[in-house]
Amino acid sequence: MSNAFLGSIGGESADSLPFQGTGVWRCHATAFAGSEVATDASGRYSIAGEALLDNASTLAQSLGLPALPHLALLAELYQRYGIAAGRMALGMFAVAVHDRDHDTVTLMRDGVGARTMYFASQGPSTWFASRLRTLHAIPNLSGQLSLTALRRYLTCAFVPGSETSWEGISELDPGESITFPGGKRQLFWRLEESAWDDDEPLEISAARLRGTIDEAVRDRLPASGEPVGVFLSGGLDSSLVTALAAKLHSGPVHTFSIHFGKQHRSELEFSDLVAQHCGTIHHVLELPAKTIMRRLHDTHAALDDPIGDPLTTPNSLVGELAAQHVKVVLNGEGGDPCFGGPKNSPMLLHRLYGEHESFSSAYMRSFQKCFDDLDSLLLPEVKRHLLTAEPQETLFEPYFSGELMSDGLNQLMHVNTFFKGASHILTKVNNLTSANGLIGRSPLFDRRVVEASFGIAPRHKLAAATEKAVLKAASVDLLPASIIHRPKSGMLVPVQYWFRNELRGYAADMLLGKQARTSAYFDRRTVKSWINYRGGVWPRHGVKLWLLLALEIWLRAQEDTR
Amino acid sequence: MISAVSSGGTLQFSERQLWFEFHRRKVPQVNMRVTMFVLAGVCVPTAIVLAAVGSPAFAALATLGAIGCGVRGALTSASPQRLVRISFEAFHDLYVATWVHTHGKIAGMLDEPKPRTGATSPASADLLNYSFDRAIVTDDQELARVLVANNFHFENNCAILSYDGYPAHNRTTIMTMLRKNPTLNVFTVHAASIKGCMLPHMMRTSDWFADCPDMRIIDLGLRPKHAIKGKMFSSVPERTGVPPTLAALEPDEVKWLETGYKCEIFNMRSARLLKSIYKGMNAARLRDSAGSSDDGVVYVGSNSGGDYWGDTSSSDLGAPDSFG
Repeated sequence: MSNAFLGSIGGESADSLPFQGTGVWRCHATAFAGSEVATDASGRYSIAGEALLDNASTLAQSLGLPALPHLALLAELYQRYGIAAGRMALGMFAVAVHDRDHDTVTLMRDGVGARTMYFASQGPSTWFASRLRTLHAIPNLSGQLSLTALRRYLTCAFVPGSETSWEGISELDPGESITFPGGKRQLFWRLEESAWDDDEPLEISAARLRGTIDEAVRDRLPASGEPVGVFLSGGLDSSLVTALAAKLHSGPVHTFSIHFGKQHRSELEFSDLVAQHCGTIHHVLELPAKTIMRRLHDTHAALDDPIGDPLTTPNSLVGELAAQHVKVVLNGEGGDPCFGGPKNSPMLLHRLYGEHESFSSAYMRSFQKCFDDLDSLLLPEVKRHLLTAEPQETLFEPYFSGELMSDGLNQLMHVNTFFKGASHILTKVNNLTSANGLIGRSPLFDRRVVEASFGIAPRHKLAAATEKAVLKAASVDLLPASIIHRPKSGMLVPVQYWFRNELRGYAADMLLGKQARTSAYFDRRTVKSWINYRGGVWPRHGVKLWLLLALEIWLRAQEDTR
Repeated sequence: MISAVSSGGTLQFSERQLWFEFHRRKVPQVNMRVTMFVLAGVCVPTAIVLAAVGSPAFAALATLGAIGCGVRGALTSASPQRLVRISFEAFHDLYVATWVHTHGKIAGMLDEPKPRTGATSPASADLLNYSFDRAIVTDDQELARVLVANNFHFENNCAILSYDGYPAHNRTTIMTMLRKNPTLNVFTVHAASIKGCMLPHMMRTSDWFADCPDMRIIDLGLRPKHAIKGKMFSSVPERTGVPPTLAALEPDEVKWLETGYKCEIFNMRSARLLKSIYKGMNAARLRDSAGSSDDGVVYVGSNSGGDYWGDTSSSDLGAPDSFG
C-alpha cells in the first residue's frame, strides 16, 4: 500500500503524462494507476485504491462468497449496495469505483479516515489520488499555498477538514463519497450518539467496551507466529494496546519507546514497566535534538499536509526502528479523542466562564498554538486576503450547535475525533508508517470502538476529574495499577529547551534567512521575537517555533516533490 | 501607561492596576529619611549665617529645625515602605473619568461588573458530572475577574473563584463540580494584608470543602516579603492587629503587617501577575503534601520556591513542552 493511487476522469487526462507507460487501467475517459484494480462479477464496477478491511471474512460469508482480496470484496459489496458498502466495510480504505455503464467514478473514504483521498478539477478533467503530494506533483493542477489553510494550520497544527494546503485540491471527508462528473457528495457513514443508560455502572460499560477493543486489536494482528510491534509511550492507551497484543497474539510482540536524552523528562519508567509486565521484546530509542534536526526534512517530505506536532519526526524515526523487526505496528492513538482525554476540561471551563467568546473560537484557542498570534504573525497582505475569506469558526460551529450530538462532552469528543483524528493523527500514522514500509494500525480508532464510546454515558468517560475513566476500568485486569492511575502527563518533546539551545541557530537560519519560504507570509519581527523568547505571557515559544519550522521544512520538501 | 499595563494591548487589566502604574510613572516618590537629612543639612548653614548676620532668634530656630530634621531622619526606617500618595478615588475622578469623558472607554480595562442573576442554565446541567484538578481562590473579586478576562482558567485548566462571591453566575455549579474531586488542589492568591494572608486558613476551616478531607490548599498569595522585595506600594498604614493564626509568616513580615501596611496584588501589571501565578503553580507541582505547615496549608512562598512573585523573565521554569 505504499504506492500512491492516482486516477482521473474526463477530458484529456487519461492520456496525459502520469498515465503513460504500463500498469495503467483505462475504461472510457477514466484511468487508474498505482493500484491493483478489481472488478465485480458483473463486470460493471471496477475499483482501485487502498483497502485493508477488518471484517473481510464476515462480509464475504454474508455475501456467500469465498475469501477475496479486499478490493474485489469491496467491488462485490458496491455492486449490491452502492455507497452503503462503505458503511458495511470496517477498516481502512480510500477507493475509486468506476461504473462502466455510466462512465462515472465514485470516491469513498473510510468512516474514521484511516486512509486519505484527494481530488482536483482541471478543465473538464478530474484527478484523484490517495496522496496529496501525488496530485500536487501534476503540473498546473494545484495553485499556490492556500492562505486559509495556512491560517488553520497555525491555529490547529494541522489542516482540518476537506481543505488542503494547496488551492484547488480538496480532501474527501471521512465516511464521505463523491461522484464525478458532477461532484455529488454524500455521507455513507456518520458518527452518531446511541442511547446510553445513565444508571449503568461503570464496570458494565467497561466490560462491554473491552469486548469491542479486544475485537479491534485481534482484527489488526498479523498472522499467527508473525511478529507484531506496538509504539509504547507508557501512557494508558498504548499500554492497553500492548497488553492486549501480548494477550491475544501468538507471535512475538515488540514494543518501541523513545526518549530525548537523560537530561529531559521521559516516560521510560512507565514504558519499561509495561513492557516487563507484558513480556514484550522492548526497544528503546534515544532521540537527541541533533538526530531530530538531521531527519526533519525526510519526515516532513513524507507528509501530505504540514503537521506541526513535534512528535512527527520521533514517530518517523521509531517507525524506522520498528521496520527492522515487524511489518505491522499498532499504536494507542484514539484514546484521548474518543474517551474524554485532556482536551476537554478547558472547554468545560469555557462553558462556565466564557460568555464573551464563541465556543468555536474558544475551541480554536484550546489547541494552544498560534490562534492568538495571527494578527502579529501574518503579514498585512496575508491578513488582507483573509479578511474576505470564510471565518475559521464556521468549520467547527456545526459540531457545537447540538444538531449532530446532544451531549456537551460528546460534542467535544466528536469534533476531536472527526478533525484531529482524520486530519492529524490518522493521516500522520498513514503517511509515516507507509514511508517506512510499515502497516500502522490504530485499534482505538476502530470504527466499532469509536461507536461504542458514543454509546457510553459521558460521565463514565470523564468521571469528575478522572479522564478516560471507562478506558481505565476496561484495563484493570491487564495493566499494573501504577499505570492505570498514574498522574496525567503525555509524551513530552522538549522543544522549549531545544529552541533555547541546540535548535536556536538552526531555527534562526531557516526562518529568518534569505531562503525562508515562510517569509512570504510571516512578519520577521514577530518570528525574531519568538526566537529570542520574547513576547507572550505563556511560555510557548518552543511550541510556536516548532510550528513555523515544520511548515518551513514542509514547504521546501514540496518543491523537491515537484 | 496603558500600553505598559496591558503589555502592548494584549492583556486586560483593572483600574487599580492603572492606578499603581500611575504611581510608578507619575507620582514623585519621597524618601522621608533622605529628605529629613537634606533639610537638616540646609538648616545648619542657615543657622550659622543667621547667627553671623546678627539674628540669634532666627538662628536658634534654624538650629532647632536642623536638630528636629536630623532626629526624624535618624528615627525613620532605612527601607521605608513606598506608600500610595493619591487615593484610588481621587485617581478615578481626576484622571480616569476625565480621560473617559474625553477619549472614551480605555481599551483593555475591565468594566465595572454587571449584576447578573440566575443560577445554572439548563444547558449546564451535564457539567455537574465533571470536575477539575485545580481551582484558584482569590481574596478579591476584581483579581478573579482579571485572571478570567485574561483566560488564565482556560490556559491553565483551573476554576477561578473569589472568596467574596465571584462569579455570581454559575458559582453553585462550579462549587458542586469542584467538590466532586476529592484530591482537588486549591491555590489561594491574595494581597499582602492581614485579611489576604488569612485566606488559606479561612479556606481550610470554612465549609467550602468540608467534605473533601484530601483536598490540598496551596498558598500562592502575595506576602509581605514579596511586597518589600518588589518595592510595591502600600496603602497608608492602618493598624488592625494581627490574628495569631497566620502560619508560616516570618517575624519581619508579622511586624510589617502589625504596622498596618497592605500591598494589593494589583501592584503588578497583568503580564507579571499571570506569569507569577503560573510559575507558583508549577513550583507547587514539585512539592507534595509533606510540605504542609501545621495548619494544613502548603506555603509555596515559604522557602526556595517562593520567588515566583519576583523575576518572571525566565520562561523556562515549568514551561510546558509539547504534548504529542
